[in-house]
Amino acid sequence: MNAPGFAVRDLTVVLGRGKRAARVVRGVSWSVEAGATLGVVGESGSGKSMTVLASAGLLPPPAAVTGSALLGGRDLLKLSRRELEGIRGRRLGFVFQDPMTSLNPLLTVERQITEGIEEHLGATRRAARDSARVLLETVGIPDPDRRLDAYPHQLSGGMRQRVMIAIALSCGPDVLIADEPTTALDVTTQAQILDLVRERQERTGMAVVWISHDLAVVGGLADDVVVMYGGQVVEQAPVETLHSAPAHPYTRGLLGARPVLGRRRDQLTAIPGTPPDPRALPSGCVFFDRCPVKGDPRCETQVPDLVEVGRRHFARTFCPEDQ
Amino acid sequence: MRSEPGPGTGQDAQSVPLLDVRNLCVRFPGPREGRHRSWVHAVEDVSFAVDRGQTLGLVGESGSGKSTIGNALTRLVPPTSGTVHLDGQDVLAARGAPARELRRRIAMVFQDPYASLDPRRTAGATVREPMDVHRMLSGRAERNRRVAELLDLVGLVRETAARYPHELSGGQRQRVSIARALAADPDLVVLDEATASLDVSVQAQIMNLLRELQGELGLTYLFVSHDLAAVEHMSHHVVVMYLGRLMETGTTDHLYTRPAHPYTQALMSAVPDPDPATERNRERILLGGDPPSPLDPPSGCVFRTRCPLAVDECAGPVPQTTVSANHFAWCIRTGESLSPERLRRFVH
Ligand SMILES: Nc1ncnc2c1ncn2[C@@H]1O[C@H](COP(=O)(O)OP(=O)(O)OP(=O)(O)O)[C@@H](O)[C@H]1O
Ligand SMILES: Nc1ncnc2c1ncn2[C@@H]1O[C@H](COP(=O)(O)OP(=O)(O)O)[C@@H](O)[C@H]1O
Ligand code: SF4
Ligand code: SF4
Ligand SMILES: [Mg+2]
Ligand SMILES: [Mg+2]
Repeated sequence: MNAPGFAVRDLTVVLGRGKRAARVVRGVSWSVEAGATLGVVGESGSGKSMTVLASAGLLPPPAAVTGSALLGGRDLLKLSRRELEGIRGRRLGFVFQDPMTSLNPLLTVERQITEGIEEHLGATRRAARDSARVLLETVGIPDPDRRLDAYPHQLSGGMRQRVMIAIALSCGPDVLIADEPTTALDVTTQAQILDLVRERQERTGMAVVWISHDLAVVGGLADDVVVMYGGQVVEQAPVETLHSAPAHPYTRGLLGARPVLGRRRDQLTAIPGTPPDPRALPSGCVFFDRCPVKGDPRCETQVPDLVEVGRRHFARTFCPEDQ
Repeated sequence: MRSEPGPGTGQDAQSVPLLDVRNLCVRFPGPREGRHRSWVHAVEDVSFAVDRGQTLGLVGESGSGKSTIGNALTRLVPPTSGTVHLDGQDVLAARGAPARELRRRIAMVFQDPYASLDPRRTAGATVREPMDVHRMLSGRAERNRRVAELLDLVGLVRETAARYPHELSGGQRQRVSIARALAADPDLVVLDEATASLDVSVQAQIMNLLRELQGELGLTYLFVSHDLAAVEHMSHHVVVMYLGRLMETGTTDHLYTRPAHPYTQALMSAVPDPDPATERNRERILLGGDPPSPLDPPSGCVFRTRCPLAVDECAGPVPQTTVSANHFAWCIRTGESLSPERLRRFVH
């Protein structure tokens, strides 16, 4: 296992210019080692997708991206388009939330899987078809021979997502980035897909970045979890720590908001209000408006730093102890 | 065929449930194969009832027929057979004025508040529309006053009335949809994945709101969802469906503490536990593959192609079996639950 892992350093994304500029990712850093899984959680609009899209050079020019994205000692943000294309699909596999927009409706499943294998690995058409069949089998698609000739619209949502994963895995990537790949799927299909990725990771030692808006989904998969809010990392910790001793009021809110099977409560602890507008961010703590704690005079005026509050545990709040 | 009062009815067998659905079948025309027309068996022989002021949760995988049931109740799709009664009145047979009145009494909230709100209409106009349609209250001024009250009720500031959908967040849009659903003063609200497209934190806001409204207004809900934890949180009774059929029904407490049907057990076991330590060590039943096509459902028990307990007899008729009072399962091996030893053979 000598896969390199993946890291983003001080990543910033600004969309648009001047007064209307939206600062959607603000100085995000995290890393994931080979064989490990990083969970990224946070509600919609918190900048999860923008972070990973920017790190893979997938944002078109009007987006201003700074910082770095390191894969095997190389900064992806400094590579030419050509070089990047050689890395994406080959060493970096991507799975998006909506497989319909990322699969080509005009190509058969076979073509979409074999394209990368032929291009990146120089396989013959025949050999590529064989690997495609094996891949479909590994991602749990019944009757793979028939499915190879199918078009995306002939597959169910769960099957399309499994095809996406087959494509992402086709060249044996060092890093798999999965952006809410199971959000639209049934729990049964989700369980199949989580298992599949775990199994594959055990065999190949790839690093995995798994994005979700639901902490429970990354619980059984991730080693470390990053919680994003308003374009920033507000907490980062090993998954067990995050669950047993969340330090940021937002993380505690997320944990309390989800109903848990077999543990009925009368009221869910909803987080009131809505996330901040990235075009008009508050001058103090980004969570100030919705925070039930607000336990420090600086909350309203100063942006808290991401500080170490425990072993490998960081939180961006002035009041990490106030439960 | 069952024709006793469906599961979901309260203890009191004498009282008329607010909603009583019996032997509902909905089939859609499928593709033509030669001279034969195939049929999508979306809902097959489904019966249940809901008492006033209660919530019935309808849960199952995608394609199990949940939305089709909601759509049949609100007459958005025509049922093939079966009956639906609201407060003792036949919903499907009604025509003219009584039909309109029944339509007023059943409201619907959909999954995606973005798609279900008219982008060119202000929130106020959207909420007022059902009152306009049903000619409620006298005059526009009074209706607008009611709009303000409704917005209040769902936790929106009155100024929201002037806003367009794109100016609202997902949670705010769903609150507008709920206000609109309440505008015609319904008895029953069908909530079809009403929280599914929302963030966890906003889902909690909306679920809390729905429960408050139920307490205040005595509303009856049909809570359609594929989220088992959300259904447990919201419902008094639960109906589990697979491929258009009932698998198991019961009070929420019974069904969630002692699921008797292998499908329910598999569904519950697929839900990740938020505690990572528990999640990593627990044994799970993994269902392989996907549900079969509703064009050509398996004979007998439709779950048998994926059921870990399936035996030859499962291809024959499947009777309703009683697990306990008000708790039923459609499985010939009800009670032989997936014991730990049995389970181990199916964990992956
Ligand atoms: N208008 C229609 N014409 C043909 N088939 C239909 C139609 N509406 C629904 N179906 C089919 O009926 C079955 C039940 O669909 P339904 O939408 O009720 O499922 P559901 O349980 O609500 O699923 P989901 O969780 O995906 O919303 C599916 O096989 C679906 O493809
Ligand atoms: N194509 C786009 N144009 C303008 N703003 C966008 C676009 N895509 C995303 N955004 C904005 O960027 C911010 C972060 O979005 P995103 O990274 O997609 O969030 P997440 O993945 O966490 O839901 C949000 O405020 C969102 O509205
Ligand atoms: S810094 Fe203050 S406002 Fe921000 S999360 Fe901490 S307590 Fe809340
Ligand atoms: S009837 Fe047979 S196939 Fe169906 S759920 Fe019961 S054991 Fe499984
Ligand atoms: Mg996203
Ligand atoms: Mg539906």
